[in-house]
Amino acid sequence: MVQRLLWLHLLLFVLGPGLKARPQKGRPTAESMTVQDRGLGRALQGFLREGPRKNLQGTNGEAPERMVMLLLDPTPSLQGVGLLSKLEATLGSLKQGLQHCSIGLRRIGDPRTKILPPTRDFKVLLQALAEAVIKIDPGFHNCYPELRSLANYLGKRQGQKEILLINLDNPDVEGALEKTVRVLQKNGVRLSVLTREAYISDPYWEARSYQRPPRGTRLYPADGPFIDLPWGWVFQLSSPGEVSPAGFAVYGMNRLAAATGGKVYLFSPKALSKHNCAYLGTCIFCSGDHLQQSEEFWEGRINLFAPSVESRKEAFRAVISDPVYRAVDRAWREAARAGLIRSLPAIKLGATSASPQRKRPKGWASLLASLNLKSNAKKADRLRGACAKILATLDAALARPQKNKASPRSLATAALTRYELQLALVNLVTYAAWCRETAPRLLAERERPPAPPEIPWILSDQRPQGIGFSNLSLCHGADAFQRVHLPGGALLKKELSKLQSILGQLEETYAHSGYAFGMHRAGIATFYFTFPGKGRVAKRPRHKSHKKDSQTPSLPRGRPSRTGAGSVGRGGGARTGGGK
Amino acid sequence: MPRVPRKSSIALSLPVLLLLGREPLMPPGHKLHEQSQQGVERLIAQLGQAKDSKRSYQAFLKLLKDKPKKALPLLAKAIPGFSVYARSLAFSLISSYPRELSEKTFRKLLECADPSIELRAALALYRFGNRKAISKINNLLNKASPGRKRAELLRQLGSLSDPGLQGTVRSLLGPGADFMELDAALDYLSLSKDPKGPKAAKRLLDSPDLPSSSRSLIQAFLLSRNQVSETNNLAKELASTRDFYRLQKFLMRADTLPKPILGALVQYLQHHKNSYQSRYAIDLLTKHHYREALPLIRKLVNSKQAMVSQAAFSALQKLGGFSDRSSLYLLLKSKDPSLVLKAAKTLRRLDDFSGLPRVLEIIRSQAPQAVSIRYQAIQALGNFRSPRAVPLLLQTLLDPKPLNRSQASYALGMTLRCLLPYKRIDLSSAGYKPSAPASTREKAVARLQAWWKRISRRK
Repeated sequence: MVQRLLWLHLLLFVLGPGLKARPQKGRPTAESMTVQDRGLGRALQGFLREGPRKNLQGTNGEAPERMVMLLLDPTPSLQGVGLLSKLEATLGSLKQGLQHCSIGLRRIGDPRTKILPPTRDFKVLLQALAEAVIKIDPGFHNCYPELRSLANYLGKRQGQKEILLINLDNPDVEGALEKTVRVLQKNGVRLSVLTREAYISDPYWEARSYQRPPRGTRLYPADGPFIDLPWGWVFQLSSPGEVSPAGFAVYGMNRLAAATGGKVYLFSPKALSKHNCAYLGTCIFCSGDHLQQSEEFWEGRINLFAPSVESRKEAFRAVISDPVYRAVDRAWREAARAGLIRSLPAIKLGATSASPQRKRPKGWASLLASLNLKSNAKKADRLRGACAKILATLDAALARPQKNKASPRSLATAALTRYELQLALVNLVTYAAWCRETAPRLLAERERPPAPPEIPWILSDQRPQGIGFSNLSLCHGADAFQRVHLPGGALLKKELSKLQSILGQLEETYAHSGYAFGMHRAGIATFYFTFPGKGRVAKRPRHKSHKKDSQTPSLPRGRPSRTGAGSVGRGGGARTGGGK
Repeated sequence: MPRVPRKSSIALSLPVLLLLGREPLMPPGHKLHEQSQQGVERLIAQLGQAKDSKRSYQAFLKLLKDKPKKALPLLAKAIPGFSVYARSLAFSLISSYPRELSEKTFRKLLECADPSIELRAALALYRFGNRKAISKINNLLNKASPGRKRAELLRQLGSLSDPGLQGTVRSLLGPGADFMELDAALDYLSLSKDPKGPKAAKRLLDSPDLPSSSRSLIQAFLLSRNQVSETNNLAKELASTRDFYRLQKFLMRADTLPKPILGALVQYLQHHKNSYQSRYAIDLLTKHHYREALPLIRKLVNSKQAMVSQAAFSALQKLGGFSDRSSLYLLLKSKDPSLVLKAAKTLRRLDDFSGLPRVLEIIRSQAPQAVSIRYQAIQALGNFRSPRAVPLLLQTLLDPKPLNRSQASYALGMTLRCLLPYKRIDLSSAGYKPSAPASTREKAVARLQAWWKRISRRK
């Protein structure tokens, strides 16, 4: 008997993950629990209007008492949004509906004893809120321990227990997520979140690994459970994931709300919904008046690519059986090996298992490090060959019939990966040609100035120190570059038309979603020589004795500002289609 | 004392001599206020004349520059005989003097026996902080003969928010009030955001003797204050009224408009396709995103009234009426070059270059309509950033109008920067400057044309 049981355990251990892997359809996504109204007033109304849960009943068959705790993260985004006045107006308009509701308040960062217990006297609540929003702290805040302690606090009470977490600036500070889920579930607390929109598969903090998160947390701003979109392509200033609004919140917030039956209310502060063709590069085809119709986001289209709200473990299992994601993973790894991309997939896929990636990527191939133009051109040619091979392999894998098992999100990821590979190909062609034709001409112009109206780029006394690049936005399509004099000749034209055909196919399927947005913000690279700066060298601080040195220098406490690039193309975070 | 070389003193004196030739020799530090009484009187007479507003404005500028003290008593005497335009200039002039002087003059004007001037003076004093002036304003309003004259006074109040004044104006509302007076009173109450205004208006609506036109005016007023009321009468009146402009100003201030009103605006547009007031109706429909009006607005792009056609065009842009592009292609065939240009610009913004040949045509055309918009056309051509635009832009560098030339040089620079990212271009290095003599420009353009020929062949 024991032997049989042992055999059964062994069998389950080997086949377990595979057996448990369910098809993509029917998996919980952020679609069902995200409320896209965007307005603060509407979000508060939506939350407070939510009726009692069906399985809950108060004494004498009455509606149960609703215990709501507002958990407030006092960050700069709260300033000027009128939270106090909006809450006051909402409470005023819902007077009748809130007869059995008491609301309390807790501010992240306050001492544990400082808490306003749930009260029906809303004047007291508003007064406490007015005091809470005065003191703003711009730093990183970890809301997870506060959530757990609040869940325990509510757990001792009777009635329907709810928390509304207002977290506009720190949804990306993630700490002990699954533990928090368990505590909330154990105490029967429903958590809803009022937060900002995330970017699709955002690798912002991954790309800035020098940023230290608060103790016991990680900085994770992406919308899904793991970063599924390859980022950090060669000759690209930004990654599509860093700039494309997802239409959903950060994964941590989604997961908490989904696991406890709550909702996520997206909030976008008022901003100009002005289209901007480029994020970090420039657009040479317009002066900011482009009418990019495919960037009007459609809710139905966005919902197709809704991220998973399952635990990371389950999400990893799900991806094992996704053949398209597997193909992307393979292409990503090969590209990283060749030096085409400076990142590695977030998860390590085995035959029947998946685990987080621990290996560090090696970075881009050294194309810009030396001023040896001939050698650079050769390297670029070699890399182009490798890139074409990876692209062909990916194409072949995607053409296989099992494609229909894949989720729409991984299909979109694969499409964007194909596009980035082709774009890398174009940029490598133009870089090799720049090294062979343009750069020598620019250097020669120092001796023989060009005929007017041309003037030399480099002055006779300037000595280049290195090579830099910038990006010309692809918002107007790849075909627009056919009329631009770029180095690369006929080969470049051929690759540009291939890029345009991929872009055209993608536009058909992914227009009006963040994926199209990301495609438009990628760019054709242009190259230039860099020169030594003339800035003064800062004075080194005088070395002092050990006693005084023991005082550690104070570091800036605030969160470093992120130049956001939603559809508004300016700070303030992601914003799908300029908001509603 | 630094020694001044002789040569430079001669050089400096030359422009002075030239200036002396233009105007009679004046002693140093001379100003108009030290001029004769006659000179100032002449300027004030020039300011007050009704026929030539340009001369009137010139006199105003001279007086404003020198502010002669003598002018104030003269102005106080002369203002009653001035035209409306001259009066407003005179009041701005008086306000520009030091406060004690202007206040004194306004006090004098309070006794000038012309209610309109007295009211204006009282309002000026009120703005200086003299709260007592409000009783004078109230008096003037109460004493004024009902109808047109009182309406004129009411219109001068602007958005001055004073509870006492608002109370006086509210007391003027009545079922028998003259239509124009009622319009002016409601306009004031709406502009000054009188909190009690809507209540008073609603009370008035209840009176059965109220004429239909006044009823619709009050309903429009209530909408401007975001008050919900019965709007059937207003909807009927809107569709047929000739006094549309009286109603539109209230509707423009409303945050939301009920559907029957928007429908009535569409009906109004159907009957008044070429009336300049139709642009207000179009603006209203656009403001409230009434997409049902799109087919009609599309037709109005071809209205004979230029203001209407322009309003219709921008409405189509805002309401997404160009999403199918076919209407833009139709506009490209229009005979009106300004419409063609707008359509071409919009298409270009959508990455569609079908309008480029028509823009080239407009720049080449010598028809007066096309010549009048050549500057805009050159600007639009530059925004295409197309190699097809370069030869014509090079040609336009020789345009007889300097403004067109500088626009062409800017547009060319923009186009070349886009097309040749690895070349640094400076037109002046080829000898071209928009302000250079014609012969120099011609030579420089010939050089530029030869260069472009070489570059485009290489491509």
